[in-house]
Amino acid sequence: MQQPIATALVGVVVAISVTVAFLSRKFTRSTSEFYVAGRGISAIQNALALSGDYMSAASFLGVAGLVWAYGFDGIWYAVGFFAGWLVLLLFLASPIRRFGAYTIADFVAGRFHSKPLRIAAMVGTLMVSLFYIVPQMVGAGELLGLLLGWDYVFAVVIAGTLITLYVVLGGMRATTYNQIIQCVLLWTAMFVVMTLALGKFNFSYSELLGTVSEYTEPGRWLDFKNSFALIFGLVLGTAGLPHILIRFYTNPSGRSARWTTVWTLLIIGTFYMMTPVVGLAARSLLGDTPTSNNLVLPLLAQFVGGEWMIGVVIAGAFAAILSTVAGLVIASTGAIAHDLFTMLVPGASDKRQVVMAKLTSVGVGIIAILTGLLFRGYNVAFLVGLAFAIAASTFFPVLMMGVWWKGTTEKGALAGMIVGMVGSGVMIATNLLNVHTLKNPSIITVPAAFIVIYLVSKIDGKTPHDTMEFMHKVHMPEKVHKVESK
Amino acid sequence: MSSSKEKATEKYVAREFRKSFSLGLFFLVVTLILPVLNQFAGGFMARKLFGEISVTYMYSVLFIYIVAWVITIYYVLRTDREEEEH
Repeated sequence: MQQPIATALVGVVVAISVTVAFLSRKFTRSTSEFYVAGRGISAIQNALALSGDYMSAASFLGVAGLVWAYGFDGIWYAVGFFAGWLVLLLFLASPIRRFGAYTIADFVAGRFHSKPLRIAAMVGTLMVSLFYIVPQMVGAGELLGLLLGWDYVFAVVIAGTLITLYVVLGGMRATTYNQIIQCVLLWTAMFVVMTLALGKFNFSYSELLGTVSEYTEPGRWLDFKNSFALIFGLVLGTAGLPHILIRFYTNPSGRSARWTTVWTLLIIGTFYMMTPVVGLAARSLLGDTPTSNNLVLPLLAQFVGGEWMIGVVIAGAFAAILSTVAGLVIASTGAIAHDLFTMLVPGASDKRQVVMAKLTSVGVGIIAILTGLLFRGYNVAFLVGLAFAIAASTFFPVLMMGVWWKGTTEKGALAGMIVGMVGSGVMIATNLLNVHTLKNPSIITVPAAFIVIYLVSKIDGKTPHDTMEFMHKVHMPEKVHKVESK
Repeated sequence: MSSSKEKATEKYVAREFRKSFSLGLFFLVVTLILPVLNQFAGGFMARKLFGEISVTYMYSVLFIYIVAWVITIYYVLRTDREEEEH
């Protein structure tokens, strides 16, 4: 189907993204600027950018699609995607910022002074990011292919190239400003569609639910075990997502990192509250018409608002994909160009590291395009759910124990990270091969990782010599550090 | 690190952990109890509260969000105040 207005609006998003990147190009001359925007992003700016980063194709297209397909069981995704932010705020936001590094591998390596841990964190970052990138690229291909009449391959290549271009040109600063704009666009698009859709039911939530009452009760898709496991994985997975965690490094202080999370919770909370309305309205108004649950939102937009509205939604979805993949490209680039490169070439100049980062971004962009082409047709929100499972199992236990328990040792952290990463990977693969029915493995692999970290650390007993200095650095308020440095 | 500084850090970390853990545990229970209630108290959760809106629906699209926002604001304001006083 050809959509001239939508094509024009997507063109506007592309033009804005490239312009922002071009104007930000002078801010990529140092590694600090490239990876963390010079740590000068304010709480509200960062909250908008984090929301743009986090509200991916899975949130924008996937959740409404799942609610349309499965009713209440799709709402689990909205609840889980949102709830994880509180865990992040309570346990990790401030300490991670106060440590003040560039990547998650920096953080664990700084805590335990361990090369094997740095490598494990790097592999984990790439694994999570790849699982997260795939559905975004699939979403881009499906959306632009089916709604704008673009060829799937062409759409994936265009999206991947654009993202790579603006990351390479403008680094974290361009990515941040683009994510802010994209967040506003996609939140507004969701709000307008929801309002127009509710208008079809006289603005009565109850009337809407009355038309699809069989879809408002749980159990159409997930049984008790799987709905519990899904929520568990999504809640803890958010606190282990590398592309989200590294954004906290861009805040100027731990306090600012906390307020960033407050604003983010407000922005994404109001967003996720809208998704069930949209999904159920689509069920009521469109019935079984949509051919793919990833396309439910654009089709509903067209039904309630015509060509202009579908244009806004396609532009919003495109913005969601761009902002999330850009964050993932930066996280993956940090894992390779910062974690690996500085380990292989110690003492590399800052300028050389920036060049390496830009080259790596191009490489990651190419991988994103190729995986998007390979995984054509996979369900967007389901794949993101798996990325959350790996993040929850690989990073959440080691970050929690490393930040809060001084008895954690290098061997304990490494063993826990490996158990979480390999365990979640194996359980996902065996579920896909129908060996067992547990769709989200984190309910087993997260506790297993915690237990392994505890037991191995207890047996090992060799805590790093500077554990208390680390605890002091990441927990004590900035005020204390300022007084001490005088 | 001096032993007094170490003790002060340990005390501070323990206090922070108690605060975060109690709030986090409360919220995890609020969230994770939803599938449990749906499973074991399905009749109650299916009861209509307002018009066609059931208890389970209200819980998942409104109550969890409000609880999270309240905890968030409480935690951040309390932590800001404690850091100022420290």
